Parts: sequence; structure tokens; C-alpha cells
Amino acid sequence: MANGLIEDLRAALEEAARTPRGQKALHGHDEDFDLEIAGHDTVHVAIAGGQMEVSEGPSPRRQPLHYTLVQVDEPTLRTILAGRISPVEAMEAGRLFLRTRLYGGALITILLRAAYDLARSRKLEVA
Amino acid sequence: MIADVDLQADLLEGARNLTRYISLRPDQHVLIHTEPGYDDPRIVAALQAAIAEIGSPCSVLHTPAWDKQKDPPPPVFEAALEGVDVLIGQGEYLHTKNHYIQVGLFERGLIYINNEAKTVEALSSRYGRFPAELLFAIGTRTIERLTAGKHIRVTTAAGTDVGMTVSGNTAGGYCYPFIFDSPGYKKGFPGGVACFHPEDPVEGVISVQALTRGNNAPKTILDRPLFLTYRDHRVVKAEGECAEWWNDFIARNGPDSSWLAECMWGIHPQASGRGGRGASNPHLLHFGIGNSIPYGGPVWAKTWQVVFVQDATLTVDGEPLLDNGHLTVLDEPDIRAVAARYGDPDEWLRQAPATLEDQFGGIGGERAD
Repeated sequence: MANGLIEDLRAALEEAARTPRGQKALHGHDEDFDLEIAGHDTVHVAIAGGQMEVSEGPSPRRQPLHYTLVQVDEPTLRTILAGRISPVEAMEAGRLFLRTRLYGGALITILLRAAYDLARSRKLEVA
Repeated sequence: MIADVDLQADLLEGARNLTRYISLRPDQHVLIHTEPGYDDPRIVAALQAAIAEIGSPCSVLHTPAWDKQKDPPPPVFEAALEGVDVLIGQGEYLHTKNHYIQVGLFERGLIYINNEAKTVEALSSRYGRFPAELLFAIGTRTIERLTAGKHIRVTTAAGTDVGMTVSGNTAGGYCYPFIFDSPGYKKGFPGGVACFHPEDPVEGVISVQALTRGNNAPKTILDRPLFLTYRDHRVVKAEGECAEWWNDFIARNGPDSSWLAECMWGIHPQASGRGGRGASNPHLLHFGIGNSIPYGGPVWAKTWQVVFVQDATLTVDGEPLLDNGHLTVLDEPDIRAVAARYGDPDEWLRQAPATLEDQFGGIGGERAD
């Protein structure tokens, strides 16, 4: 991705994964997430066995009950990673969609929330 | 089905069963929430005993009742949710679209279990004691058969004939191991429903036989069907009983309030409305209409309306998954073999009768997801 979005996303999610909230998500179930970011190639976030991997391109697996398609645009994703809107606020505003089973897909929003919290903490430190 | 039960032993077994559905661990903090009218001390004691056997810290919070859709929760309840991993809702169903629940589920990883076996009799019965292994076997097979195909058609003797397609990622429900969604989910216990978001093309007619009252619908069980004609995923014509109400409802809320957002049916053969959830019985199928976002859909609407049909036939690429209200998965030898581990498979797998009156007469019976 030309503007470094995947690198920024990977860095944010890896830092988020080290928090207690992130660890809770990683040690949940195994799931493949495809992030469809408008104007960009798909990003695959794989969570399995307590580990997370972020890579370019779609998931090679789309197993029912273990797969979620996430749809978001770059400004919304960057706004979450900057701590300016939470994942649930983005979902409620129709800017972040989980195209998945009923009440599925929470691992990715838990991780994004951890990234949002970290960004807000950094802002407080600067202030 | 509520059979004669040994209340003490069977009630505790029903409570233990709830912990098995969750795969509860000793490190998870549990909150049992009760309200006036939903606070039978025998159930609370059984749940506490079953949770103590696991070794999980457990608290009980009794709050005043509140309007789950219109009012904020008591502050003490909202604060308590921040300190627990698992919420067992023994009270009224919590409206999960509310912001505080969304944050709990999708940002903190809260597990919210709505205990649908709300009476001593229901929790003690084969409905509440239905083995997790067996329910999950029925549910995962149902999902397998659903997602193996593409074209779905739902018909009823009352005149429903609607077609749609299915995408594997939105197939789910309360019917497979709860740990597949952990942490951060809501499910009913014992649950027993399968569902998916209907994908295009959605065309045909739904002959509505009952509907929830959430949007000031004038009645629940209809004397004559309300025929909703679907074209391109939205209703283009309403005829029959309550058609005037429907047309006014859409005029006030916009065409996306008729978006076909969910198709859900029961897979629990012992479910009924007497203290349990009739909608979990295969005799009943319902469609959720309106806001599709929580169900994996792409269209937001400000309303949610549920409509029911009785004894549907649901085919996947022409093969019946439901056959006049009978879940054909229950006849499969592999499923019967799982049931045999717990006794006579006929006793576990024989479908209890369930009617629209059961759904709308049960405790909390007007709720559907």
C-alpha cells in the first residue's frame, strides 16, 4: 500500500495485541479477518493459537463460523487508530461494518479498541 | 417440552449445562442479573452452585426493572458490567443494540448469556438439560448444510414463497460451540436457532402469520396473513391483515425499514414457549426486517421488526433443511448417534409441538433477535 496504511495498521495492532485487552482477544477463538479498505487492497488479519499475523491480500481461508469480512474506509480506520473515534462509535455511525455471523467478529473490534486507547494515552502524555 | 422432573437434581443439572455451553473457566468473573419477576431464588441458587463447581467468582445483582429499549440501565448495572467477563441475564432480555452493551461486547469482550430457560421447570426439563454436545452437533450440521449451497427458498402452506441466496460468512446463530465466538458475544441459553443474512436476489412473498409488537403493531397473532411482496430486498406491496399499519410504518421510517435482514429458525427439538423460547423450535421460522448491520448485512435502518411463519419448508439448492417445520438434520444417523450417548435418541430428538401461541405466550416470548 502506497501510503503506508498496512504498516501503520500492523504496528498499531501488534502494539494493541500486547495490552491486557489485546491478549484477551488473541487468546479467544481462531478467526480470519479480511479488511476491505476502500481504495486499497484487502488486508488479512489472522488470529490463531494466541498469535496474530497481518498480511497483504485476502485470507486463503473463508471457513464458516471462523471468518469475518470487515468493511471500512481509510479515514475511518486512521481515525480509530488515532484515538478519535472508537470502533463501536464507527459501527454505530455506519463507517465500520462486520459482514459476519450474528454477534461474531468481536476480536478485531477489541483489538481496534485497544489501539484506540493507546493512541488516546499518548495524546494525554503529550498534553 | 416440560416433563416431570426431579427438581433438585435436574435443576442443578440444567444450571451445570449452562456453564458447559459457555465452557466457563475458573478465571472468568460472572455476574447473575435479576429483576422483579425474574428472580426465582431456586434458579439463582442452582446457577451459583454450578458456577462454584467450576470455581469462577460469581456475584448476583438485583436491580429495579427498566424499559430496555427506551431507558438507560441503572448506573450500578452498567458499572458492574465493566468488572465481569460473563453476564448471565436471568432478568428481562437486554436490548443489545444499546451503546453500553455494544461497547461491552465489541470492545471489552463481554460474554452475555441470556438465560432463556427462565423458570425452574424449563431449566430442569430436557429443554434446559439438552446436552451441549448434541445441540452443537445439530447446529454445526445445520450450518454445514446451509453453507454447502447457495439458493435458499422458504415456503409455507399459508402462502410464503420467497427466494434468496446465502453467503457462508453470515451463517450462524445460537447453535454451535459458544467458544467459537469468545470473547465478545451474546447468546441465548440453551439457544437453538440458526440464521443468516439473506443475500441478493431477495424476491417473493412472505405470508406473515404473527409479528412482534415493537413498532406499535396492532396485534401479534394474525387471523389472516399479512402478505409482504419483496422485490430487490425490499417490500413493494403489503396486503391482508395489518397492511394499513405496515404501509404507515414504512411511510414513517423509509423503505430500508423493510430490508430483509435475517432469516432464523429453530433447531432445538425440545423448545417450547412454556418458560422457554418457542422460536427455538423448528416448527417456527422468523424473518428480521430492518437494520441489517448486526446480522452481517450492508443496510442500516432505524427500525427492527420480526415476523413469524409456522411450519416452513426451507430448501438449500432444492434440498429441504426444514420440511414443513421438521428439521431434517434430526434424522441423520450421525446426530442420532450423538443423542444415543445421553439415552434414548428418540426422547431427545423428537420434536415437541410449538405454535405461534407458544412463542407469544412464553416468558419474554415476544422477543426475537
